[in-house]
Amino acid sequence: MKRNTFYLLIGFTGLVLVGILYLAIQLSLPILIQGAFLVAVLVLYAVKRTVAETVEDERTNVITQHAAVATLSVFWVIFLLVSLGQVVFSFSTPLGFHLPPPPSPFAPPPDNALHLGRFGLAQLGLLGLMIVLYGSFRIYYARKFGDWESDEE
Amino acid sequence: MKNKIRVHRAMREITQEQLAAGLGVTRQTIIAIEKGKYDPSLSLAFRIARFFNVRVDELFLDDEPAPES
Repeated sequence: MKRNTFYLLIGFTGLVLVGILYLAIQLSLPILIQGAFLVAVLVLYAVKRTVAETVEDERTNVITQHAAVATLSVFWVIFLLVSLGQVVFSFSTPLGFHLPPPPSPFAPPPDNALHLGRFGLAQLGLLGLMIVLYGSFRIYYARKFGDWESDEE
Repeated sequence: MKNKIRVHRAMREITQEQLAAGLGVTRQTIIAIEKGKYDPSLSLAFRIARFFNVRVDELFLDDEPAPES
């Protein structure tokens, strides 16, 4: 398979996954998107092996290594910041260290599903940030180690 | 680290593409090494030297100042 065809396949798979996510939300069936995502990742990894014209040499590996280490160095700080904020929120609620308030007929019932959903959204945001960080560091190190250098030949 | 890969390539009239194919690396890597943007691993350095049939120290020049004794 050609490299561009592989990139098209990734885009198409992404679109299908968005559709399945919508369906899973409509059916309130998380296993649907989880299963589909797992299968999609496995298929893409398998197809990636058949992609021609891909030469990965030691410089590519060095760029990947540097970008990964730099991403981790920054990301753990951001991850801890967000987690600390969430811990404060968590322990400030009636289920945390504070005593629960007296029962009120006007208080809404606890909605654990909503909290889990927000947790998932926060995780998605962090994952998106991690991808952006990794991409940026990859570009930085690729430039540092001579990618996009032109030559007279 | 400075190197004489470009000189040896020119002497043998080999393009960067041909050298890259012979070594199993990308042309970008050859460009980066020639321009001193990337120092190859020992393994790749020996492979390049073998390709040109020269010694490694004939190909790569250490431009670090020698430590004072």
